[in-house]
Amino acid sequence: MKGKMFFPVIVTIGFLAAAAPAFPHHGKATYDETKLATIMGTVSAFQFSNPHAELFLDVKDERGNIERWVGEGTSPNMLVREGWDRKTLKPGDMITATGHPARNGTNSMRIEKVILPSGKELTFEGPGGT
Amino acid sequence: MNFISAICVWLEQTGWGTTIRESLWLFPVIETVHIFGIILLVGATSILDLRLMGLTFRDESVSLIAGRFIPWALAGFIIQVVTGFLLFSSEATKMYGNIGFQIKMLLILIAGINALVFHSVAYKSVGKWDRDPVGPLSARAAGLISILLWFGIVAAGRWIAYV
Repeated sequence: MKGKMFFPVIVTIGFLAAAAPAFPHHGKATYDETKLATIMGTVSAFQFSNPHAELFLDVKDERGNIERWVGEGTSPNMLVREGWDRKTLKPGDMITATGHPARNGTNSMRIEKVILPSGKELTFEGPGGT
Repeated sequence: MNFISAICVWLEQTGWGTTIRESLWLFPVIETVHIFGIILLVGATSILDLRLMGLTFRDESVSLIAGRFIPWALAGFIIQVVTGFLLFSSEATKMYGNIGFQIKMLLILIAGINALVFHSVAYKSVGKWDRDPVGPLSARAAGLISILLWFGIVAAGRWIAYV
């Protein structure tokens, strides 16, 4: 019996070892958790979508050029608990978003919170972060 | 725009695609059933694959194991096609360009060809080696290829979210 257990045990250990590098992060870009950036801009699209909501912002740089930013949030069911619905933002809304910028320097971030046109602040990440 | 990406755009805009994408609970529920389906499918195929390789149920005939487990694998496959199609509809354009998804679909196609080849070649002569604890090379190879492909399919599916 002892000998028969050997093979499945070795296989299991092999899979656990192979899976170890898979833990670190979720999402396409990795975000720098040590940095917080704030951007102000106009909403060009708000996707209240699974598995992650996405927010597209047109941000004016110092020279007046428009840069397109994309911000990732948590899932719709968590956003609803934070006070969101799919109509919270619409194209043209001026908002401020604060979040963790992408490590690779692209115009993308994991948004932590959004200040709506009304001045109200809403969390864009899940309870306790993602 | 090519034909397939046009279909993806259309799928995403269908009522069901939009409903699932914007749903609060439907998407995670379908995702959960998709996990149940893969347990059923890969669990069943793996038992047969291990039998073909002579690593388990060596005292049972191959045809008995095939007869018992292939129906469960088919049931799992149907669950996967239905739930997978619904999940795909909700984010089709994203999946279309996702390398994890592309590899997953390619591996499923190869797994299908492997199963087809096994049934039309090695399994045809199963009467000659049905009770052998370890099958002939063609059967062992089919089992090994199948189990590697299905584990690869699960891995590629999980990696869709990370690539």
